[in-house]
Amino acid sequence: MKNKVLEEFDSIVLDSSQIKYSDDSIDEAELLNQFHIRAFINSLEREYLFYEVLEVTQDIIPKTKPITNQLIVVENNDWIDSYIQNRKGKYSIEIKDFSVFKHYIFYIEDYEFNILAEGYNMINRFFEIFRKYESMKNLIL
Amino acid sequence: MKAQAVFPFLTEGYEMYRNKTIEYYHASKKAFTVLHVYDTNQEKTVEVGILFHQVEELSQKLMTEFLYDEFGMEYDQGMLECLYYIEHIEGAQTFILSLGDNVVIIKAKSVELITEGVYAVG
Repeated sequence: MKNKVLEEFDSIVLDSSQIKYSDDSIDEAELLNQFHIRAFINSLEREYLFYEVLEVTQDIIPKTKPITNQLIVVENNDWIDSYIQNRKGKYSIEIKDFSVFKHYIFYIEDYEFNILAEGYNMINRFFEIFRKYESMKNLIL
Repeated sequence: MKAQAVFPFLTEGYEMYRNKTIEYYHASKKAFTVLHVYDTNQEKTVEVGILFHQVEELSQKLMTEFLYDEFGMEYDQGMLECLYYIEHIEGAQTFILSLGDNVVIIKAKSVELITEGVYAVG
């Protein structure tokens, strides 16, 4: 597996992750899901927003395995090939071009996130959803 | 192993606000979502919070024939109830939340239904 390192982090602490599905349209849904990772990088809020997400996995890395905190893109994208093989039958969102999807791996502390998505953006603060409200914030603590 | 509905009285409606957001919080190992669903007991649409405890995994997968088989569900049955679970011998459970063409897989110890003070935002 050949990888390209996009970013490397000296100090990163995972805060939360989010899967977001939007279907406001009366007709067919148009957008694929989003996957967000919120982390403190050098104690500052950073939210990574992956868009047009096909699949996501979250794994715990065994403590015995030393890891570097980094975001990488896998250059040989075997995942998309198996995804295409599995995507048989009828789905509400049509995908015209599978070549735009990339396999990202985000290593944070002892977590490994694998993300099959078109791309990502980063914003300099947490975009809160539920924690904006005291009643829900208290449930999550 | 056949997937069972967690809250059989909560079903996906036909025409409603269908956005869904689920979050996982590293510090508390909880996951949380709020759903707009139809409650067949109350015979109305309600907002409910679903709180997962001791979460080990939160993943998104394409719903395929293979997954339907794995969950012991009929391919043409669809997913009418909002949340399913499969119980494992060791006490952990796999929860399955339908999300359009995909499912969210949540591996957790337990789940709690919250009916007060929750809003489907985002």
